[in-house]
Amino acid sequence: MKQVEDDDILEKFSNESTRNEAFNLLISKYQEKIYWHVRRLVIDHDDADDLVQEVFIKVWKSLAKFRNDSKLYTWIYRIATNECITFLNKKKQRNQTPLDEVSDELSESLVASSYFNGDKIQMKLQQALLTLPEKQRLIFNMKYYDDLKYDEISAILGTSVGALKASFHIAVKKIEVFMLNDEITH
Amino acid sequence: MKADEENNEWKAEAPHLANLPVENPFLVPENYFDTLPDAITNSIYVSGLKDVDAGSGYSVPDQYFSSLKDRILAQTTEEEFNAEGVLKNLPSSTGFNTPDQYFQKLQSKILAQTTEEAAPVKQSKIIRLWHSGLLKYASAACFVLVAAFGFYLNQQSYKSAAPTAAEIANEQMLYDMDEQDIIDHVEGDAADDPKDKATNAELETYILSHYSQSELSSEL
Repeated sequence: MKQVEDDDILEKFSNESTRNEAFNLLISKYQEKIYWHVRRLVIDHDDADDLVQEVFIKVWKSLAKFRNDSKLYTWIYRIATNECITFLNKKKQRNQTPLDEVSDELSESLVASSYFNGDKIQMKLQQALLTLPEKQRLIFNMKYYDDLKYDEISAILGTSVGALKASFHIAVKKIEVFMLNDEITH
Repeated sequence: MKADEENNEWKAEAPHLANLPVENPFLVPENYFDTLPDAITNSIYVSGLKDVDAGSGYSVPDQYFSSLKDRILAQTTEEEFNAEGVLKNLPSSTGFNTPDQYFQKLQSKILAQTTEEAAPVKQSKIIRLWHSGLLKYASAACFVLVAAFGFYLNQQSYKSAAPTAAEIANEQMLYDMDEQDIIDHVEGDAADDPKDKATNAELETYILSHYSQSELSSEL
């Protein structure tokens, strides 16, 4: 099925009579991408479900003010990323725990989750990801899983391409070391 | 092409990670993405309801609430006058007069009275009963002496007032003795005189001749 172009969605949304139709098209096009982007960051499905709904509520409220300064998917990704970071910061403040202990919590929910189907290697890869700082994890997910280009990630996060490359390479090396060390110990 | 170039860079640095298949290990509930659009639509609807004011569906004229207070006050004042229609037509004068410059003097009068009333009350000097230790102990010693002296006097008066056991016994013996025996005892001193001395036989004869049997038995 051919996906609707962002420009068509925006044109329909600008018309009062086709606004709801346009938004339904937008949800259908981006719901899965946004869900997985959020899910990889917050790990838990219920948290991801709540956040995805919050993201699209914000999109609905702000889409009328959207200007074509950036691409639509970049704009939605940015909203989703900000929601996730806000959620993780609130979680850290609520539990009064440093970020590495939040990562421990996420790791525990990863093990306890009934919605995880990966094998041992996949589990280790996710645990390796949870050892990374938040920003490196975010960049790694967008590059490795979403296969976004540095330019696109730069547009979403507002970070320079050079800084993104450096962060991604550091993250890759850390994960490689984690995986190899883990294999040696096992 | 560009994406491949970018990926080749990191794959050269991390061959182990590069050999892993890029798989999504996470799952979602069954038909989750089929129901997600409806869930999002419902969330947007509920969110829209929260954003709307409680009085949605009703409107008020422009600046209604800003002028509401003035209109209520004006209306209540008018109703008060209407309720007492007779008073409505009366002149605003109260009908009472005050002396000239009464209110100008009133304030100074009140102030003068309140100032007098508020004159400072002379504080009474407080002197401590025992302002030195010596006086305290002297008072205690005096108290002990007075108490001991009172106790001593009480004991002495008790001793002088109470008869001794020997006195009580002698008094009781006097009551128990026959009157004639006492008389005889008193007279006995005089009986030492030989001329007044009488024998027992003479006394017996005298008694028997002067007293009857019944008188003697009742006396005994």
